[in-house]
This record gives sequence, C-alpha cells and structure tokens, in this order.
Amino acid sequence: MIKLENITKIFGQGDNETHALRGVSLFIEKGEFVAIMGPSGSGKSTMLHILGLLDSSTAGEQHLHGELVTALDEDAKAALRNKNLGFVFQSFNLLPRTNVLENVKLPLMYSDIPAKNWDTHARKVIEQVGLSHRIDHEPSQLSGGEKQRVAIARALVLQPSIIFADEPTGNLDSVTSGQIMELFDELHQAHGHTIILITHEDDIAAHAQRIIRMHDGKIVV
Amino acid sequence: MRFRTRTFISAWKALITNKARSALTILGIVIGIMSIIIVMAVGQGGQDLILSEIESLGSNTLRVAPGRESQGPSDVNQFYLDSIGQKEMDAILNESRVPHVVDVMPFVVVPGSVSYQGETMYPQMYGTNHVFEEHMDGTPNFGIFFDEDMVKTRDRVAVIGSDVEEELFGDESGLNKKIKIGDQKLRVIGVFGDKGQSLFMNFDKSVIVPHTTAMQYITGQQHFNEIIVRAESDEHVEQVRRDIQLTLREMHDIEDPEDDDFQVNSQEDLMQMIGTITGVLKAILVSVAAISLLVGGVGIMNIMLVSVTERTREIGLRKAVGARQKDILRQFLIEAVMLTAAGGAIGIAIGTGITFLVSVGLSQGLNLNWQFSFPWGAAALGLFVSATIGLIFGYFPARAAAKKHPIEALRFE
Ligand SMILES: Nc1ncnc2c1ncn2[C@@H]1O[C@H](COP(=O)(O)OP(=O)(O)O)[C@@H](O)[C@H]1O
Ligand SMILES: [Mg+2]
Repeated sequence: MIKLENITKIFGQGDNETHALRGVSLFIEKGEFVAIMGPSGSGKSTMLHILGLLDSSTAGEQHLHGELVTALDEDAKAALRNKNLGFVFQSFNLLPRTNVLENVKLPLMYSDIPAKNWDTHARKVIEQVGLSHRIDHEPSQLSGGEKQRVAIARALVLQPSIIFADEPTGNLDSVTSGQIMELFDELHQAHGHTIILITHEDDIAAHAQRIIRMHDGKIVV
Repeated sequence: MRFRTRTFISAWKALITNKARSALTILGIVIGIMSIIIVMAVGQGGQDLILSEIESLGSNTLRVAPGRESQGPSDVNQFYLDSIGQKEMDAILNESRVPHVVDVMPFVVVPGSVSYQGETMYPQMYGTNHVFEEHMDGTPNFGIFFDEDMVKTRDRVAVIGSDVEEELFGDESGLNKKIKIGDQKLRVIGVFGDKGQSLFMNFDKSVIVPHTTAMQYITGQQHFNEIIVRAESDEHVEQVRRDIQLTLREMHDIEDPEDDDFQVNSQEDLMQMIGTITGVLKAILVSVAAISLLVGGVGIMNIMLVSVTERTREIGLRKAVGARQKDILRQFLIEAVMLTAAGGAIGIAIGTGITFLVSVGLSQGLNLNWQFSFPWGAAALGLFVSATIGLIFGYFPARAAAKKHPIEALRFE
C-alpha cells in the first residue's frame, strides 16, 4: 500500500543543512494501524508529511497504491491527497469563525462531488464522530476533544484509504485522549481505514498493531 | 481559466467571515468610484444645463463679438475689443448687406453700483435694446420694458430685478423711483418677477438699461461687448454668418480671415466650445479620481498581502485537503474582485445619492433647471474599473498565497 525506499530529506543548504531523514525504508499494508514513536527532532513529522504527499523527499523512491509518486507534480499530489489521504493535526487547524459543518465540508470543495451532496456527506461523518449536536458551533465554542473530532470528521469526509495523525492527542487531557483513540480504533476496526499516527505516549501507541521507532532520521526497529 | 461556482461560494464565505477587514479593504475603492460618479454625473448635469441654455437662445441666433477667436491657450485674445459698434450693427441690419436678419440685440456691460437713498448694491447691469424683451423673455411683471423709441432717444430709464427692488426699496415698489448709476439718475419703469438664474444672467439681480443711454451717459464707450443676431430661420444661419463676416471684413479692410478683429459664433459653435471646455474639465477631474482609485488599489494590495499572511495556516490547510495552486489563486482573485466590485457598487450608490442631493440643491436652492439622471455610463465604467483593480492588485497577493508550501504554511504561527 505504502512503500518508502531509502528516503532521505535534507532541509536547508550549506551550513544550514539538516538531515531530517537519513535513508528510511518502510512498508505499510492496507488496513494497518501503525504508531510512529521517537524523541523530538528524530524525523517523525517529516516522514509523515512525505508519506502524506505534503512534502517531497530529497532522494529515494516512494509508492502509493502501487504507483510511483516520487516525481508527481504538486497538482497531482493535491488530487491524491484530496481523494485518498486524510490528515489530523495536533493543533486541529480548523477555520476560525466557521461552523463545524462548513469546516468539515472544506475538502469537498476540491473534489468532484457536486455541491448539492456536500451537506449529506458532511453530516454523515459529523454523526460518525458524535458531533451532530454541535453542527452549528464555531471552533471557539468547542472543547479540545470536540475540535479534534471535527478535524477527524474533516479527514474522513471523502472516505480516504489512509488517515495520518501527527500527535492528535498532544493537546488533550488523558480522558479526552482515550475517547479520541476509541474513535481511531473504531475507524480502523469497523471501517477498515489505514491509520498512521505519531505519538509520544506508550498507552496511545498501544492502540496500534505496529510501532515504528525513529531516532536521528532513521527507523530503529 | 475555468471558475467553478464553489470557488465563488468559498470566496464569498471568506469575505463575510472577515467583515471588518473586508470593509476596510474597500474603503479606498468606495471613495474613488464615488468621486468618479459625482464628477461624471455633476459634470454631465452642468454640461446639459449649459447646452440647454444655449439651445433656449434659439438655433437661429448668431453671436457677434469683438476680438478674434482664440488661436490657443497662450493667445492674446484681448485684441480689438472695440471693433463692434453702432456702425457695424447698422450694417448688419442693412437688408442689402446682410439679408434674412430679423433683429439684433446689442449688449453693453455696465460696471459699478446702483443706489437709492443711501442703499447701494452691485447688480449685473447691461445696456441693450428693445429686442431683449421678446428674445430673452424679459417682460416685466410690473411696469413696462423700454421700447425702440426710448432706446433711440436715450431715455434715462431702467428695468430692475426683484432682488434689486427689494434691496433698494425694501417693501415699497420701485416703480417710477429714480435710481442712481454712476452719476446718472434713471427712472425705474419695470420690475421683473422672480425668474432666477439662467446661463447668461440672473434676472433677479440685474438692471437693464437702453444701450444708448448706457454708452452715452454711463460708460462712455463706443463699442458693444457683443451683438446677438437673429436670422429668419435655421437655414439662413450660415448665410447670415457669411454675410456678416464679409460685411465686417469689408468695413474693416480685412483681406485674410486670419486677421479678423471679430468673431461670429452660431449656437452650434458655442455648444462645441462648451463641450470642449467641459470635456477638458471632466478629464482633469476623472484623472484625479483615477489617481485615488490607484491609491485605493495599492491599499487593497497591501491589505490583501496582510490577509494572505494572516491566513497562511488556512492556505496550508486548504492545500493539505486537496487545493491546487490555481484553486488558491482563483479563490483569492475572486475575493479581491468581489471586494472591489462591491466597493465599486457602494461607491456608485453613495455617489449617485450625493449627485441626486446636489441636483436637488441646485435646482431648488439656486433655481437652476438642473436635471438629475442616473449616470449609467459612469456606473458601468465604475463597476468595470473597480473589478479590474481587484483583478490587477489582487493578483500579486493571490499568487503569493498560491505559492505557499503546505507544510510551511501549516506550521506558521
Ligand atoms: N522546514 C524545515 N526546515 C528546516 N529544518 C526542519 C524543517 N522541518 C523539520 N526540520 C528539522 O528536521 C528535523 C526533524 O524534524 P521533525 O520531523 O519535525 O521531527 P519530529 O516530528 O520527530 O519532532 C529536526 O531537526 C527539525 O529541526
Ligand atoms: Mg513532530
């Protein structure tokens, strides 16, 4: 499903060069639930961004659904992200002063789905994350856990095959974190989504089937 | 470029989500378009007014004035200011020299004041003949206008406007009282009713005396400031003009028309002249408005650049969920055009409102025959210009937004 071969990523030039990834190879099956762990600065986010086609690697080869994606241009990557990939961030990244429904509809704008069906699609995933009663609320009126549910609904709205989450519980208390992880479990078990999630917490990582540990730009286990 | 409805919807949502910023952004455009509308509409109204006044003189009239026609802005047009006098007027009235002339009306400007028992004022004072009464619609409400005989015999009589009467005589009637112009005493034989301002004079504030009286006793001048000649009909205007030119050239020993010491203008000439003058004025005013629009455009670019920076994370997010460069570019461009077009529309509305108030004020306050009409041309131009400004000045910020890297944009604090 996802294959990285000897991927390197260098930020900056000359004296400012940072080797964020130093030859990473990785294979993730369809339907897997993978946790990525490792100290700060070890390259977890960088790898997630490359896996999610949000950033390109400096060298190496990358396949998605059996297709070589290393050399795709920005527009093609944007189309793939829209169709197949969903993202959940630590800081939620919701549009301010915009209600839950409109936030969840955002990816539909860039899809082929006709506008008249957007509401139906959005309401369905909002119900799936249990936020139907908050559908008219703006982010400022929501708790952290609710915000992250909105972000998950937004990631789900186009039914992507893979969901990427970069420390999705990093800003949440442990009770709320538990509830969010139950949601990920359900997406994985009941709906068969592939989930790739970065975390520092062992009990969060415990929800995954496999743990990838990184250190200094390399996978260590 | 293909624009989808959803991009418009998205742009619209972004704009109403940030109402305060949107309002600030378009202020410059609102003001710019507003001034264009006012300038164009008021200018048009003024031009229409002047043209209708000229028309009211009748298309069969010609104006003969001393001095040659201006050859350019720096031309000294003040030559030969005394070239048209009684002799010339008599020649124009001579059927064998200039046929098809109905009548002529000379004008002499009388400077100075008029007074009555210690009350003094400075009205517009003219010397003319009996033709004035018919041609200028100058029949007094009280008393009479002077007739041909009175002009011939240089009677010391005057017809005054209603404001002049009020100023000099208070509540009393001015009829048959003797007013003083210079050191001459003239009897008031007529008083105009309230007529207000026309292009050439304000009847209410005027004093009209026989031109013979004015020239003999008051100004001492031998020439007219202008003569209005009436031809039998429109078809005769050009012939009369030719004959007047030939007659005057012969009288003044002029061979080359370039050396003319007089000018003969038809109504059409005047209209063209007025059209040129108001056209230049309009062009100047419109370019001032254009500069304000340019400034407004730069303001828009500025605020949009700030807005693009502020919305960096939003741009990153949109890209993360699948927006391509051109989606972002279009969204910001449409936002800019919607903003400036809205600014243009608001400017048109306010400008039209002000224009309407101005026209009401001018027609009621100053008694002018000022017509209000919705400035369609200016409105269409304003809308087009404002949308174009949005497109031009929105492009740079929109491109800056489109080029943002999704991850760097998402990381932006
Ligand atoms: N845009 C960037 N420019 C320069 N250096 C970067 C950039 N992004 C990440 N890095 C560097 O790459 C390394 C890996 O970063 P990251 O993948 O964010 O680590 P993690 O997510 O594991 O904390 C770090 O040293 C970080 O400073
Ligand atoms: Mg990280």
